[in-house]
Amino acid sequence: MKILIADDHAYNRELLLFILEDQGHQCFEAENGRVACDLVADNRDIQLVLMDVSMPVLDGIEATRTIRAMANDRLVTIIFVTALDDPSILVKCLDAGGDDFVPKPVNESILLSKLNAHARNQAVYASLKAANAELEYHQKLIDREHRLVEHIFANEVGASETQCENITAYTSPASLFNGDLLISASSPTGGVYLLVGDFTGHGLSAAVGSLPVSGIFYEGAAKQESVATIARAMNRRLHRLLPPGMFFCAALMYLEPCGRQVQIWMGGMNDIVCRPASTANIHKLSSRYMPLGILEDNEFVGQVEVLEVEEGTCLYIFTDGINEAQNACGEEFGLARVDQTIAVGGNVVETLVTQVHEFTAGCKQADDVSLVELLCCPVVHRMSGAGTLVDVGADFRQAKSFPWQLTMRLSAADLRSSDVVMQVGKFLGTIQGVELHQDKIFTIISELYSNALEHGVLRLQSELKATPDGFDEYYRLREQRLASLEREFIAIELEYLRGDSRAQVPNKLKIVVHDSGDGFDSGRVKSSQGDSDAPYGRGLELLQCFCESLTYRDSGRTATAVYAFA
Amino acid sequence: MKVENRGNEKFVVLLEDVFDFKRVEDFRVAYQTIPLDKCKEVSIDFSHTRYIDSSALGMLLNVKAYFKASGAVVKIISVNEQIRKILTISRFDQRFIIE
Repeated sequence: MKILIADDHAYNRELLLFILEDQGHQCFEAENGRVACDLVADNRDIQLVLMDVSMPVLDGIEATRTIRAMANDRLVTIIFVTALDDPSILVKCLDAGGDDFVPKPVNESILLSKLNAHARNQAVYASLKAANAELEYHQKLIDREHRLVEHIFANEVGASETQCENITAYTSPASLFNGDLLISASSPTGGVYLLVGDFTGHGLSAAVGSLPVSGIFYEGAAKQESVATIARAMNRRLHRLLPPGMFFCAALMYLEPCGRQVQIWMGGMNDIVCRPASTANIHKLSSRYMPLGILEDNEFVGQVEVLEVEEGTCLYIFTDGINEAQNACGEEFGLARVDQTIAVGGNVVETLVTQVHEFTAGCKQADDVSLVELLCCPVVHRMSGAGTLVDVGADFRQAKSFPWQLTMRLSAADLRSSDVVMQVGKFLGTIQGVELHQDKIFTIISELYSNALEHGVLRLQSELKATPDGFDEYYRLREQRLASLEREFIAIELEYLRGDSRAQVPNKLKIVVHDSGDGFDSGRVKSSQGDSDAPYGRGLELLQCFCESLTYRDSGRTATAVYAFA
Repeated sequence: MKVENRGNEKFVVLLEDVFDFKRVEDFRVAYQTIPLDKCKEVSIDFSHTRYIDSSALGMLLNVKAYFKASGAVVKIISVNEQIRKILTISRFDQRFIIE
């Protein structure tokens, strides 16, 4: 050990020096308190000071105070060497920062025993210090890793470019990472997808599942996939990823651009509370399925509830962090309070969050908390950040093409080819702006073409399809008659009509299908076919739904359909 | 077009990217390979299907009629938004379990 001997009497110093050096300690000498302080300052490895009380220039008590003030990051043991006769001096020595006493005249064995005892303390201190340094190092490492992960979460989970005005949301994690997931994304047609969910537990281990889930969510939304398809994909992924006992309670929803229809898939979530615009009578939608990540793909039930709502209806979705929030007495906030606040209306999200905070005042937040209001009215999106209004459905509605016309005359050989419609559809799909409408346009052309070919040119009767055998027979006859076709033809004319966005006239596609045969007698088809079980006669209904207008002339030989890109 | 036996007397008919009049024969052959007495549920899987026409609707009603006598449930699964719309317009949502 390195030891400093502070004493104004050279004889005393030499005596101590003799004892200590004999034990292998390395010693420094100071003849007054000032020199002692300087030596401790200059030699950071001095571990122990044997301090005389009365010395010139600076006495032992003052020197002790100075050393304590300047070396508070080191463990310097200070032992006073004094005649133990005045208790008030002893108290002063301890108050100034002394650790112990050795009585004068110095007894060698007492001195050495005391040194050994303090050496043991020094060793404990040193190992604590080392452990502390290691903890600090790991803390820094974890902080750095958390910041990295936080960055990834922020980029992946908060990746949406637009914010939807119909959604008012609050989410608060219990720790740095949120095991609740609350994300929304606009659909290409202008609607909005919303996901509110809660992974088992909280913190990083719970939050980690939100990465694959949000990826699937954003991809599905961009492709306008059905809520059921997205839920199924999430279930499949989570089932593979999550350890047993961990799962994801979730409500996945889609609000149509018009704001009147909501599709919902819910598993393991609190009931969604629905407050209609016109009354305060709230009602509830319950989760019907298991949380995501538990069931095998083939056990999974992806049936979606379709909710038709009046404009102004609000849906409230919240995780159990709200109703299970506990106050100091261990009492839960409970669902009744939630219902009550929602029934009152007004700024429900803010009010409810305030109420939960007041209820749990002073208690540590035990779980992640999320709460969302979805307002069912025409969907409005804003750019994230800039906050400017954005019409996300614009590309979908305004096929920004130049005006064009396409005509084709299909003769017998062409009609025999079974994928004429597919070819035309794929071709149109390559035109800028049409792609998003490709599926509907395919259906329209396909129905018009089938009518023209089967009823007009081939003179087949739909009624034949009434029985399963007849159904097959119908398509056998179709093949047969196609094979013997000679002079018949079908002409298709497609024209892109440019609209006027200022006058709110959308761009349109005019589709004219003409056949050289008997035409299609639309008047004969009853429009109420949809309610019967007959396996035919549904094409016209589809056409009427998809087209802005549909007219037949020339005894049904020429059908003109207009499709609006709206 | 593939038929898969998923065990527990459940079968899946997996459709291709287009489900229209050209598939009438294939489809009927496919679902008729399913043993009527060992089938409780048939799912028509649209996960790869992008286009259908009105004859697809007829085929779905036919498959339903085929399994009606044995009491097997016919489900329509994994349809995209577009196809869901077509099914809804024709009120198939009231006739089938659509997932």
